[in-house]
Amino acid sequence: MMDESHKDGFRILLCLVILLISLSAALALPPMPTEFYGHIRYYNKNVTLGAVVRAYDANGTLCGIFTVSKFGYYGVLSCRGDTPDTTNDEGAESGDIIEFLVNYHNSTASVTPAWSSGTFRRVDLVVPKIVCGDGFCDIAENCVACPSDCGECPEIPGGGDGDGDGDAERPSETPEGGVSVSLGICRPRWVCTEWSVCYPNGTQYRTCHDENECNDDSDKPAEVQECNYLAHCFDGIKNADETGIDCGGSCNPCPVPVIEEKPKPTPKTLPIIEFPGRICERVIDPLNPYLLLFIAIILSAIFARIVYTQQKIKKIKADTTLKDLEKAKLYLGVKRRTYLFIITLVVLTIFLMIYYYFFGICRDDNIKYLWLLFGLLTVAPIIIHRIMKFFEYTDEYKEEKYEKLLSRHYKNIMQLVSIENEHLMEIEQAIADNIFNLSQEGKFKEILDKYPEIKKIHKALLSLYDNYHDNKNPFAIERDLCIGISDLEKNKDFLKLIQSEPRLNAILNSLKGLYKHYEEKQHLYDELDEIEHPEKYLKKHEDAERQKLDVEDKGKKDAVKDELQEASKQVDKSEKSKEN
Amino acid sequence: MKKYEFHELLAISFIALFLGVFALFIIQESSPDSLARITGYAWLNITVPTTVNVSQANITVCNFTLSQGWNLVSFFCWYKNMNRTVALEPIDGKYAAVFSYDSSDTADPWKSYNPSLPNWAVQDLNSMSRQKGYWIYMNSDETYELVGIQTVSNSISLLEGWNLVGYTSSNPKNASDAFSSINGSYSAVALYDVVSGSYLYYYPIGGGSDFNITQPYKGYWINATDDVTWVLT
Repeated sequence: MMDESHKDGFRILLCLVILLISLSAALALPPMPTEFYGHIRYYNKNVTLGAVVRAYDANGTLCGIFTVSKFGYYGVLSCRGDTPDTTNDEGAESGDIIEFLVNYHNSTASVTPAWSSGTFRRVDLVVPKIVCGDGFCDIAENCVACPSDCGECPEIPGGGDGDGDGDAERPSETPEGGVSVSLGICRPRWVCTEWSVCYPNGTQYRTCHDENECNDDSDKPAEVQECNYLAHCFDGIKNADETGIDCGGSCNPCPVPVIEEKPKPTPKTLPIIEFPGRICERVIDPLNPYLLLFIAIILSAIFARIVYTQQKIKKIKADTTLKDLEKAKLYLGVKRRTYLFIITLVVLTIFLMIYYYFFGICRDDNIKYLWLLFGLLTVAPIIIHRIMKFFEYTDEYKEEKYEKLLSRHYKNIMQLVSIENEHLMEIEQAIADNIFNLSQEGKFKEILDKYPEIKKIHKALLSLYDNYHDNKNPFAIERDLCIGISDLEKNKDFLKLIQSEPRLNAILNSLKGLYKHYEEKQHLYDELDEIEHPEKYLKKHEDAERQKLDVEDKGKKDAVKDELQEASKQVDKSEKSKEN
Repeated sequence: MKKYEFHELLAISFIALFLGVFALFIIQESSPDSLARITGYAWLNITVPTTVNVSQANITVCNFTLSQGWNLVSFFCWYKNMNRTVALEPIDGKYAAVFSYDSSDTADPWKSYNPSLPNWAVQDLNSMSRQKGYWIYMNSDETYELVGIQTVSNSISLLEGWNLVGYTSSNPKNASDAFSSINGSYSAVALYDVVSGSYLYYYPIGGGSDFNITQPYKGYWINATDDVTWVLT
């Protein structure tokens, strides 16, 4: 039986033990992992990209995972360690043999993959797992170690390879009599050049390369080795018993004792911007109050300008003394200036911030580059103004557009003229044919001889055809033709004659129909002329307008004069009546 | 009038596009890798996006002897993110392996580098930081000497569980002061003693600590009980 003091002591001890256990559980630190890397092959082929390698500890806990990102290789794969003193199994413990699964397929490791904290281990993997008896002669299997897969060893005079050394690289005959190719890990085959001469630094060199191109330098033979350099007095270095370079000792005496001073090693310096007493590191803080204040001021200015613009536009709209066109011009002007103000302000702000970032922060000599800032601040508004001007709708732009429209209009009229000519060609050809056909008849031949106008008309019609064909304007011929037709219309004998000759009457009616076409075509030519010589027509229009105004003025003056005369008459009348 | 507005919009779009491309170009060019490629000099050690906040830093020299065998260390003179080759240049050829522990990568927290591995081995420790602790295996006793920078204030994000972090100050401090910003959010801190070849522990509560002074150049395991940010001033 324990007394009370013993009980208390026991309780305290128990509490301490519990506290210690809980503390130790909480204080267990994660151990460094083991880093695995190496070749990874599927039979004799490299594993493709994206294959997933998983590492499991002795308890089957996943301790690391790696996705293949280089063809035929994996790693570095970190296999976590188990945090000591915790109940959970976080990973491997020292000495655990790690098992690797490639895309959930078992694999065979080239060496025993034991886990050891803080180490790097090269473990080459082959998939699938090598099993003697699976009927496949894998790596590390041969006719001695696994005859069931690789076949019985052949009897070779002198002993052959039946030494049981497990050399899987040597081809072995299969039961079928063929040669099996060793599968799995690529074994380098090093071929080296001869050693070079021994250099004064006591080394000689050679180069080695792997004929199998396994990309595995782990067993690469040495390419540098020490050698005994035979010192002499003219090799440019101090060696053997020389007291100086190629002098002293067994060589010629040195003229002046040479004192060699080794340069004092200087510590490495981080590449940084150096200034006396301080170094500046640019750190981002979007909530910097000065920055926020600056942005607030800029935004306020923009907002104020927008409000001012709105007020100004309201005033312009309300102004009744202005015409619509003037209002529109003012409205656009105000808007343009507002855009200019906002864009300029934004650009200048950006320039200021860029300047501040590159020259304001971390530089004591920022004043030195103020010219750059002033240059930017001066040039920026000019450039912006020019750009705005470039896109503005100006009189030049208007004229250019008008010119384009006129040009298009001109082309359209020319097209119409061409169509009209084609139409006329058809009509005139038909009339000319009719006249010609009539002239072939004896009766009509006399009539045609009697009226030479018809012959003239026929001749004109033929020449018109040629002119139209050559895209000319045969105005004179058309005029002569019209005169000829008019003469015929006025000739009473001919009019009588055609009443008895319906075919002649039809020809005359067709000729009369040409008038309308010529008139329309002349309108088109007038329009073309107006486009080609606008000044002439402008003057003409101005004269017409003036005349119209003069007539109106004259009419008004006459009216006033009449009124005055009427008024004076009435005054005279009233005076006379008074006298009477 | 419509035509006019369209042209205005076009002009604005053009300018905005130009400025955007220009800004991207500048940011891209100012990234350390790009500049290092062009100039061979990685002095603009920044990451995108960039705005304005200046953290002043002083030139400082790291000078520390790494013992033969394993060392759990950190270097306050490093950048937050720097190239492994530059960071390990002072001990080039004198170390066999480096390990770091990234608690945010639960699938594969350990990152390592071994200079003697063949080129085809994919190694995952490419950048180093003053905010992390590193296991370095030295082939012999060697002095690590590097002129770098030291920032005044450093914050390191800790996740619940063990975090292997760096000590960003060049001065020793009382452990209670050094870890005051995470009080109540950690249960223990451990460092590796090269001489004894074992861990030494510091407990914020309960006593029984193996050390009470934090030292520069040491890497520290901090067991956080919550996600928290450790600020070392």
